[in-house]
Amino acid sequence: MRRETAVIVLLISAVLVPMWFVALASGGHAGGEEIALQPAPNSSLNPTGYFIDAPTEINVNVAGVVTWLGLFGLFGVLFASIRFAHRVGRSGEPIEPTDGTDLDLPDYLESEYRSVVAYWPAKANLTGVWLVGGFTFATVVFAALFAGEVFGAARHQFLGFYGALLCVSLAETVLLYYTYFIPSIDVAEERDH
Amino acid sequence: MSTETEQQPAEGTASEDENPSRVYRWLDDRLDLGDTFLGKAFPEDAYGSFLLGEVSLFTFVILVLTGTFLGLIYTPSTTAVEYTGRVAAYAGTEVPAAFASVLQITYGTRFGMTLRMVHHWAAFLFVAAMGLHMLRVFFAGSYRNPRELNWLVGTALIFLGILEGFLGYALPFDEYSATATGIGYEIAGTIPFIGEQLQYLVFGGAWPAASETVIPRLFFMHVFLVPLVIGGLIAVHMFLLVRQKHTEQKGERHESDGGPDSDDQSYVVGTPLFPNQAMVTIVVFLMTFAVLFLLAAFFPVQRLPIWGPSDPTSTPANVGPDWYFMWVFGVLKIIPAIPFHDAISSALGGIPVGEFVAGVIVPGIIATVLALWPFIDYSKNEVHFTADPLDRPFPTAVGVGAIALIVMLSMAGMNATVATVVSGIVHWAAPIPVLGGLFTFVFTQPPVTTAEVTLPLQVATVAVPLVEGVLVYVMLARRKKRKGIEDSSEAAAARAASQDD
Repeated sequence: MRRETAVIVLLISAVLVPMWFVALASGGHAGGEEIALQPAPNSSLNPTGYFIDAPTEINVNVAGVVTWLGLFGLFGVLFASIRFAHRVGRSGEPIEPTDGTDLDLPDYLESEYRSVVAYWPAKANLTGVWLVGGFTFATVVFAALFAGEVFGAARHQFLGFYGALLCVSLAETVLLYYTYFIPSIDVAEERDH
Repeated sequence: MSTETEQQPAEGTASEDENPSRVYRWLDDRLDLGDTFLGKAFPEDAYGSFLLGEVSLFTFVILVLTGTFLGLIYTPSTTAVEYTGRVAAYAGTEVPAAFASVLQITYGTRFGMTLRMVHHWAAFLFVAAMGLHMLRVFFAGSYRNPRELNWLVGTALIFLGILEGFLGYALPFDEYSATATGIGYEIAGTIPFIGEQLQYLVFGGAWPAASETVIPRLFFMHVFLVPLVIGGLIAVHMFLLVRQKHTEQKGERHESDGGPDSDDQSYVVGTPLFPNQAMVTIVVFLMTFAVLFLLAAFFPVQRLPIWGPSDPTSTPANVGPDWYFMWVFGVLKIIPAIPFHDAISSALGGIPVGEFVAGVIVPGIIATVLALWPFIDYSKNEVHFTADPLDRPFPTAVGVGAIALIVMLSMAGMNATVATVVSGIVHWAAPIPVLGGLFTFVFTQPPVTTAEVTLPLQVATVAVPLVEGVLVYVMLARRKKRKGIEDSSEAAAARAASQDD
C-alpha cells in the first residue's frame, strides 16, 4: 500500500472506528429474552430453533456496523474469487489474433467494431474435474439439507446456514467451471459506435 | 432473420456445426441473437470494485423476490383483530392487523422468518452497496464527461433507496417502527408553507392518529410506486452504461499486437458479456445471496414480540432511525440555536425553524452538492479511464472530508451513547494527572450528560472533516509537486481531444 493511501485509510479509520464503537455500545436487546411460542397444531414448524446462541435482536445501530462488515466481507470474497479465476485461467501467454491460429470463436464476439485481442484456452484438466465435481457434490448435499429444513421444522438458523452454504458451493462450482472449462477472452471494442 | 431452409437445417449440416445448440438456434431465429450485444466488453479492475454495481443490482432483485412473498401475506391495516397465532405473549389479545400479519409471516409461515430477515438485510446491503459504489465512482473520477447523467441517476437511486427503506419501516406497525416513522413525519411537516400538504401527500393523514389511512398508502408506495421508479431508473442507468460503455482502469490491458495501445481511450478492452462476464455475474449473485442468508440467520432484527404493537401514548427507549438515516438525525441532535428563531418561525407560518434547518436545509445542501458534483469538478474533454485518487488532490480531499462529515453526524445522532462512553472514559482517566485534568476541564465528573457532549460534538463535526480534508489536500498536492505527476486519465482525454481536432 502506498504511503498516502495508508494515511487516508488511517484518517477515515480515525472517525469510523469511534463511530462504530459508539454504535456497538448503544442500547438494544442483547439476548436472554425468550420469545415463547405455542405449539403449532398439525405442524412441526419450529422457526426459533437454533444451534448456536445468537442475540434476541440487534438494534439498528449495530445492524449498520454488521452491514458494512458483511459488505466488506462479500467484496473480499469476490475480489479473491476473480483473482483466482484470472491467475489460473490466464496463466501463460495468450494466443493473439496475429498468431494466425483458428480459434473457432462464436460469431457474436467479433464485429465491425469489436475484435478479439487475447485468448487463453481452457485448461480442462483433471484438477478442474475434481474441483467442479467436489463442489457439485457439496451443492447437492446442501440443497438436500436446505429442502429438508424448508419442508420439515423450518428452523430459521438452519435455513439461513444451509442456504448460505448452498449458495457458496453453487457459486464455487460456477467459478471453477469458469476457471477451468471456459476459455478466457479479451475483446477490444470501439467506444464510438 | 434466417430463411425457412436455414431454420430447419438437416442433421450434420454446416449450420448446425456452427451453432450446435438447438435452443440457441431456436432463439436466434426469432430474436436475432447474432447481434453483437453478447460480446459487449466488460473491463476489469485490479481490485474487483467494478462489481459493486452488480451487488447493488442483485440486492434489489432479492428485495423484489422476497418482498413479493411478504406482500402476499402482509395485511396493510391497523384495524384491531384477535391474534390467534403462535406467539404466546399475544395469543388471544387484540392487536393491529398489520402487526398480526407480520407475526404470522415470522412465526407461523414456513420459511417466513428467513425470507423476512433476508428482505431486511437486503435493504441494508442495498443502501450500503450503492453508497460504496458511489464512493468508488467518486474517487476514480468516473462521473466525469460524458457520464454526468449517470451520476445524477445514481444519486437519485441512493436517495430513493433510503426513502424506500423508510416507507417499509412503518409497515409492521410495531412500537419501534411507529416511533421511528414519526420522526420522518415530523421532519416533513417542518417545511414552510408546503409541509402540511407534503405530509398529507406522502402519509395521507396524521401519524399515527390516522394510521388506518397511512399504512395502506405507505404499503402502496413501498411495494409498487417507489420500486417501479427505482426499477425504471436502474433501466436508465444500465442503458446509459451500455450506450456510453464502462470506464476502464489504466494499466489493466493485456498488450497484444492486434489490440489498441494501453492509453488509447477510443477503445474499451475487457471480457465479453457471454460467456465470461455472465459467469462472474452468476458468482456475484450467489455470493450476495449467501451473505444475506448468513446475516439473516445469525443477526436477528425487528423481532416484533419484543417491541409490541404501536402505542401512541409511549416512546420506547433506544429508538432511532435506521443507520443510513442516522446522519440526518445527527444534524437534528446538534443543531445550534437559530438566531431570531421566534421571528423567523412566525414569518414562515409557525414552523419549527431549528428542525427545518436541521432536517431539510442541511441534508438538502449535502444532497445537492452530491448530485451536482460532476458539474463542480467538470471535465471539458471526455474521460474514459479511471483516475488514481492520489493524482487528484482536491476531489480526493473533498471525498475524505465528506466521509468524515457523514460519520461525525452519525455519531452525533447517537449522542446519548456518546455521553455514556465519554462517562466511562472520564471515569477511567480521572486518576491520571494531566489527562484527568484535561477531561474534567471539559466535562464535569461522571456521569456525563447528553447535553454536555453537544458542544464537543458540534465542534468536532465541523472541525474534523475540515482538518482531514485539508490534511489530505496538502499531502496529495505536495506529492503531485514532488513527483511532477498529472492525472493520467485527464492527460489521455486531452490527447484524444487534440487528435480529434
